[in-house]
Amino acid sequence: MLEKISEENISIGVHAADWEDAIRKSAQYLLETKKIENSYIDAMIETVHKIGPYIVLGNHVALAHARPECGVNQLSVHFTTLNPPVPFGSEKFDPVSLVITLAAVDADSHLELISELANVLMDEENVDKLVESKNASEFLRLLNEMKEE
Amino acid sequence: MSNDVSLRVKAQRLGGKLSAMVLPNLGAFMGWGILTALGIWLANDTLSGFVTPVLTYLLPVLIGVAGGKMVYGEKGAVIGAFTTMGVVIGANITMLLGAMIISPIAAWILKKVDGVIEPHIPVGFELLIGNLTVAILGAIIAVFGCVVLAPAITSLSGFFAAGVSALENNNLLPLTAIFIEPAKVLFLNNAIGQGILTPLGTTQLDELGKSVLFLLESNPGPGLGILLAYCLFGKGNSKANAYGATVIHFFGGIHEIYFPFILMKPVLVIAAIAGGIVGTFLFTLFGVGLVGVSSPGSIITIMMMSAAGDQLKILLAVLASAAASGIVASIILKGSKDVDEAEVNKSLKEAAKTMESLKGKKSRISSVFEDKEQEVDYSAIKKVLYVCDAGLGSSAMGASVIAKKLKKAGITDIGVEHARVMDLPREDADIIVTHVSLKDVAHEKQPDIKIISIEDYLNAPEYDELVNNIVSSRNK
Repeated sequence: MLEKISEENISIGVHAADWEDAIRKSAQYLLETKKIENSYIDAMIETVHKIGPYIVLGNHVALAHARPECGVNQLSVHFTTLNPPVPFGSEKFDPVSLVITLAAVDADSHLELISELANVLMDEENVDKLVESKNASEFLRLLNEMKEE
Repeated sequence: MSNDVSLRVKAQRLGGKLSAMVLPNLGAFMGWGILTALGIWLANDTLSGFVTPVLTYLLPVLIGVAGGKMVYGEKGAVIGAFTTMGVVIGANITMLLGAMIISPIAAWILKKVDGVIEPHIPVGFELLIGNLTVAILGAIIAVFGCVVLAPAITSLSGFFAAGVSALENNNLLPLTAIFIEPAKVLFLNNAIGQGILTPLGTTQLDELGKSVLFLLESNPGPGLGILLAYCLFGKGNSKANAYGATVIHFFGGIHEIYFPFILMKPVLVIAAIAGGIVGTFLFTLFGVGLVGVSSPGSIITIMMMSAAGDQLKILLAVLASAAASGIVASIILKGSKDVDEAEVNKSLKEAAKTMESLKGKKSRISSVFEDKEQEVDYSAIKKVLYVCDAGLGSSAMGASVIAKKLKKAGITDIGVEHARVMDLPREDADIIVTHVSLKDVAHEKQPDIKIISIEDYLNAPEYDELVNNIVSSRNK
């Protein structure tokens, strides 16, 4: 599923005022292309307000997501690197430099994607390299290389 | 013997289910008790106006919600509440018991029916058909409840009530302590208190405005007496523990804390029975009662729920029952052979363990006696459940990492699934993994399972620990 990612699904060096802003900006493209509704963005932010920074996966990566019924039209994912990195309130893994916005339609259809992502992200070096990408095409190339490993 | 055990386990399970329907709603029960007490005391029509509608409709429906939810989540809650209205309308007595019966059954039927038709629902019609099954089954079961179940329960209830009032009239109610006190120590306290006495007592409220039945199980006197006897005549650890336990028991109302002290010396159950008999005898002699459920059985909640003017008499009876059990317990403790301190400590810890095995799950009380965490049988793990708030992002990520690690270790027969924390408890899970921020919620939802909390979804050291534990348990 990662192979379906294209350069449009990647935003590099986004400047965000705080974590809320980071989530909003990382979801902007999905909103513009009608993959998600505004309510989904609110739901993602609300979850962090409610439970804390549990969307921070480790290795300075955050997986922004909420429930499908909060306003997802189509399974989609968007990668956003933050420059400068933004604190999400996670004691251990702040600041966050990569936000992955996931919009799932049900509990299962995105599992292949998640599994592939886990493979890539488990290696801290991979995350560092991805974050240092200068542009979307470099990010995409690295991502595909890492997936093959 | 094995029959014995399984019967106890069965009774406990049933009791657990019954009390699980009442426990989430205790706030409403007590709120209703407060309104009733104030309404009668102030002779205020506005407050008294709550009494009948809340008792007749709201409380059974709340139980219906909890009963349905227990079996089949949110949909079960809806059909549970709806069908409860059937028994409520079909009867002219309070249908707490009816709600406890019809709501889980309705939810169970719905679950089965959904399971059969779900695979055949055309895409896009899930919501419509899902609601239609609730509507149609709900309507049918509600009518069944109204026509069949409600009259049946009315006569059953009448039978029990007659039994209770026969006991009361012949002054035999105190003898119920012979059954109640030993059953409490076997952790049937919630089953008795919320499962049996609460519905019966609530029925009495209609006629008498108060009920002595609420006091039978919640009376902290017998336990208080035993703990005080330990404070005076106990030895070593048991004495040291008894001080704190006394406060937790009497004011906190957590009776479970005195059970190990009895299990350590089972003959002490005689003291508890003596206390119970004296207490209930005085309750009936004084003609006192509570206007609502007192849970936990703390002296504070009991005072709050006492019928107007009964407070002092109830306090007196509770203290008298404490004195009775205290005296008997002291005699037993003094009369027992002197054993050295280490022996006593050992037996207290053993009693705490016995208690855990009796209860069939880890008790929050045993931590008072032993801090060590319960060991998990890693070799028996068949399913690891990863939970998060949404149940599809972080938990799926974490589950996928654990699955990879297990596979790498050559373990292929363990399933790793992900779910929402809201969907707990999940009986099929053997161990739960979740983010540290959700640990407390998960623990509250499913207290009897080991929960691994992590901070790092991707590289948590706890993953490797888990996999290592599983691997080494299998190599043994």
